[in-house]
Amino acid sequence: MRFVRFDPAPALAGFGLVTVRDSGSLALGVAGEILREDPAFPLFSGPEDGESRRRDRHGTLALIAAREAIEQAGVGPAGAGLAGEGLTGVEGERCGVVIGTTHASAERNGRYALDLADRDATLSPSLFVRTTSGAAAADIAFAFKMGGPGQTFVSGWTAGAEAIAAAARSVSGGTADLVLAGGVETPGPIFARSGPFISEGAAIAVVTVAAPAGRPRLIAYGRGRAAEVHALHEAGEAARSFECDTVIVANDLEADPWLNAADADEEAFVPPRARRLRVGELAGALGAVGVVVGCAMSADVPGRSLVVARDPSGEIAALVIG
Amino acid sequence: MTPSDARSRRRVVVTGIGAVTAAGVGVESFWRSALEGRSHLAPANGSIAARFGRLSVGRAPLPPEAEGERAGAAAILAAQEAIHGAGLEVRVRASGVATDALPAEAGLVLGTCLGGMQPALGWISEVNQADSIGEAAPPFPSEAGLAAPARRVARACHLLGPILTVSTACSSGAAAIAEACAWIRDGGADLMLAGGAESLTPFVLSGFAILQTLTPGLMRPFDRRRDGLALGEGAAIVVLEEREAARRRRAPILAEILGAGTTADAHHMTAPAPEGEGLGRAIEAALAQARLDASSVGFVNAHGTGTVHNDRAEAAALRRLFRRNGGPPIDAVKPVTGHTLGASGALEAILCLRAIESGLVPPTIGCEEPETDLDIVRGGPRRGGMTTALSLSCGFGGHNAALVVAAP
Repeated sequence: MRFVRFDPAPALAGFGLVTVRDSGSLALGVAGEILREDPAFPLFSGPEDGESRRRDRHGTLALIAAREAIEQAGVGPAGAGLAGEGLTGVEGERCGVVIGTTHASAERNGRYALDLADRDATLSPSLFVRTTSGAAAADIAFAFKMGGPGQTFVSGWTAGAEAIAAAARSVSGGTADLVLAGGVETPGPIFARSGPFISEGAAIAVVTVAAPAGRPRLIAYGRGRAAEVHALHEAGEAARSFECDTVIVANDLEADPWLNAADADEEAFVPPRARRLRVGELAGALGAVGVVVGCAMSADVPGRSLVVARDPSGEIAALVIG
Repeated sequence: MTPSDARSRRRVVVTGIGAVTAAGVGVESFWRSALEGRSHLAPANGSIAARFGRLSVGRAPLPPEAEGERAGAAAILAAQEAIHGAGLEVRVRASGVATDALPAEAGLVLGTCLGGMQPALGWISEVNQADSIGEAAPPFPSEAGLAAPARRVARACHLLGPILTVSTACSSGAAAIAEACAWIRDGGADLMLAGGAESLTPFVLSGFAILQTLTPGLMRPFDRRRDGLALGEGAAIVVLEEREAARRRRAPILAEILGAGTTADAHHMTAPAPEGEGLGRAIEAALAQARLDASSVGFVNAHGTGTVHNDRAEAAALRRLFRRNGGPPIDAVKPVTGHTLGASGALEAILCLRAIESGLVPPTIGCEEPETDLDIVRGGPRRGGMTTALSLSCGFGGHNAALVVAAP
């Protein structure tokens, strides 16, 4: 696994986390919402414009997390409407959005495909547009008028971590002052019927150079690929070289042998505090959730943390925060 | 020396290119058709045409041995051509042929709009079927989903480094190159494959049809009579290397990627910002990274979809950029292959490279009565001594990308 250091190390100034489980149980300094079985979805209500009417659950979840992150970072007025009303701290061409997701609006894709199979059905153009994966990033950019760097990663379960790393690169390299970055996953009931695979949620962080003192910073990003036990070694070596005393494995698959290998592999470096993160099977959002949790932990515990997101394919993304 | 100085010393060059389009397998067939102004679009018959009306498509002639989902299959062929062209092969011990093996950390960033989606839709239909008779749903297949084409390429080409997929609609291919360049500049890798892939499916065709973006006739980028685009499919891949590493192994250096910029319009899900403001910002970001001003640009490859709104917004952005005398020659190549969506940004970066290499700008098919006073190359190829080209891509959701490609 090869690491890139961010210099200067950008700060994580605020977080938004939305999961189907009550994130209060994680003892975090971030708010959470329980959103399951909520078809009316009253939590988001912006002014009624064309875009917000067409917005789906995927974009809405991303927006809730984004708004929370912005409010926590103190860069926009709390409780402002999400469309039309300018949030002066985040809007403009120096502010961007980078999102990671695995299945994006999978439910919408399925619905569109069913309509397509029915020769008598009327196909909806706005539904088709929302089958593209960049929709959540576009929603956030539109709602907060962010015209800077825009990118969406769909690499699998590493995507949320990739998004945060790309945001850190933009900020550190000077192409943006502030980037909203994280992951969002709304696979919908179709995935729920197919075994204990993926639930929904979003985690968004405000990545910026200018932040109040004491905010956690992104120090380095590593990307690699390894078989299960080797991945554990890689993570352990990274933790050792970056002097991380906490490792957070953002992977909720209990059946993943990699997690079980931690006990079996005696040669692996085991940092003083190793945490396995369980906040729902969040796929593309996993890495971002890991970063949010890691940052929340680092507020209480001094030292550095290594957040590792691993896809079942063997792809690994790792972020060093502290 | 500050760390940012150290970073800026790492430069990214292109050492291999590969493409599969409606023009055929291989970059050469695409480039030749672009120069000759030959379109490979053909009328689509069958149920899609019956339901949505007359339309043309650029179907890629994949060889029979190319298996599975078409975006992934095309991407494998393009990657193999690029790797071979870069003088890199997967080392086979028994062959005894001395070639450079791919470095262990060689990775891939692939861009796609909806490639890999078709098997996922098949799975959704199986789940529904299983549901209806009370059976357990089948697990999500590993070959399905947007990340699947990239993983197939990694397996087929024995890539052992990081495998990433980006999806920013029709700018995905350019965004993938931008991401891989950043990864190399930052020191995260010395060699990355990057590009885009897309397949023609009923899903994609119907979607563009109901958005009323498809032309029943000819694609006419920047022409007054333009009335829409035609869809194509295929893949385009480049081998990107850190320049010093490429020199050390005496790699064929075809071009340098001097700069890349990606931005969001923050305007609308399908319509571009009317004055091309977001695209303008992407161009500015790419030129800033390249440390060039607009006067250095010798040639522009426009996104040029032939839709009313895109071409107008793009022309506005280019008009602001080149204030004097209409600016450099501009071409729009999509009428040759159809709009290959997630592959187009990478395919057109390759076109820029070949234009610089040959000193020839291909003509824009279908543009007979330009709506703009920009210098759209028409009729036949234009000879010019350009050393720097700008390649533009725009996608749904207001995703813009610009690449600066330069002679090595």
